[in-house]
Amino acid sequence: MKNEIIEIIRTTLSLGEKSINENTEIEKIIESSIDAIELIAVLSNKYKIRIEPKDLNRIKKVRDIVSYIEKNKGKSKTKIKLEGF
Amino acid sequence: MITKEDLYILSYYRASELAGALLFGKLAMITEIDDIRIPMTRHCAEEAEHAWLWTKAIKDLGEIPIKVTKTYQTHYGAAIGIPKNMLEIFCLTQILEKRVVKHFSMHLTMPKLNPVVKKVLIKMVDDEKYHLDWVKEKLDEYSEADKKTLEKTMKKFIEVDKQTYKELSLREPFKTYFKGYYEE
Repeated sequence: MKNEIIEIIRTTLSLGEKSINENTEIEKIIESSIDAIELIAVLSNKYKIRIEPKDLNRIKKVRDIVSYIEKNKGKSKTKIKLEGF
Repeated sequence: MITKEDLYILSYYRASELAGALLFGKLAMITEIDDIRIPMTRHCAEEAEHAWLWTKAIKDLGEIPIKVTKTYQTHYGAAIGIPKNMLEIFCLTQILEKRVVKHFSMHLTMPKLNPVVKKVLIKMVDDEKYHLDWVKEKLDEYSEADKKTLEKTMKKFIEVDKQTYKELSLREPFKTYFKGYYEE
C-alpha cells in the first residue's frame, strides 16, 4: 500500500520524476493550498478516509500520510452528499 | 493610465479569480458527487473567464498584471486550514461570493471610476449571482439532511470571513485605496 500511496501523491501533485519517499517532507512537495485540497480529496475518495483538521497538523512527512491511511482506511461513512469530495 | 495601486488591486482581483478557477477545475475533475460535476465545471469556466476579463482590462489600460500569489483564498486558508469536505468548500464559496458581490458593488460606487474597470465590475456582479444560486441549492439540499452541521459550519466561516476582510482592509494598498468606503 505504501508504494501505491506514494504513486498517488506523485501523480496528483504532478511531481514527474522528482524523487519522493517516506521521508519526504510534505511542505517540500505541496506548493499551494489548492494542491493540498486536491491531494486530500483524492486520498479521501480513494481510501474512504476523513481527515480532520487536528490530524492534518500531525502530518509532516509522506510516511505520516501512509500511516494515517493504514489506520483509518474505510472508516469514513459518508451518509450525506457533500460530506466527502 | 492607471496608478500602481490600481494595478495591484486589479491584479489581486485577477489572481483571486484564477485561484477559484484552478480549485473548482481540480475539484470538478476528481469529485465523486455526480450531480455537482456540471455546475462545478461551469463555475470553473466563469472564474477563468473573470480572470481573463481582469487580465484584458489591465492590458487595455496599458499594463501587465503583477504577480500576486497571496489571494483572498490564501487568507481564508491561513485562518481555517484545509477544508475537509465539499460541504466546507461550498460554505466558503457561498460566503466568498457574497463578499465579492459586496466588495465589487462598493468599488462601483467610487468616483472617477475608469470605464474599463467599471464595465468588468458590472459583469462580475451579474455573474456571481449564478454562483450564489447553484451553491445555495446544494447547501439547501444538505440542510434538509443535517441543518445543524450546516448552520454551525456557516457560522464559523462567516466569522472567519469578517475577520479576513477586516484584516485585508487594514493592509496597503487596500487601506488607502478604499478609505472611507469600508463599512465600520
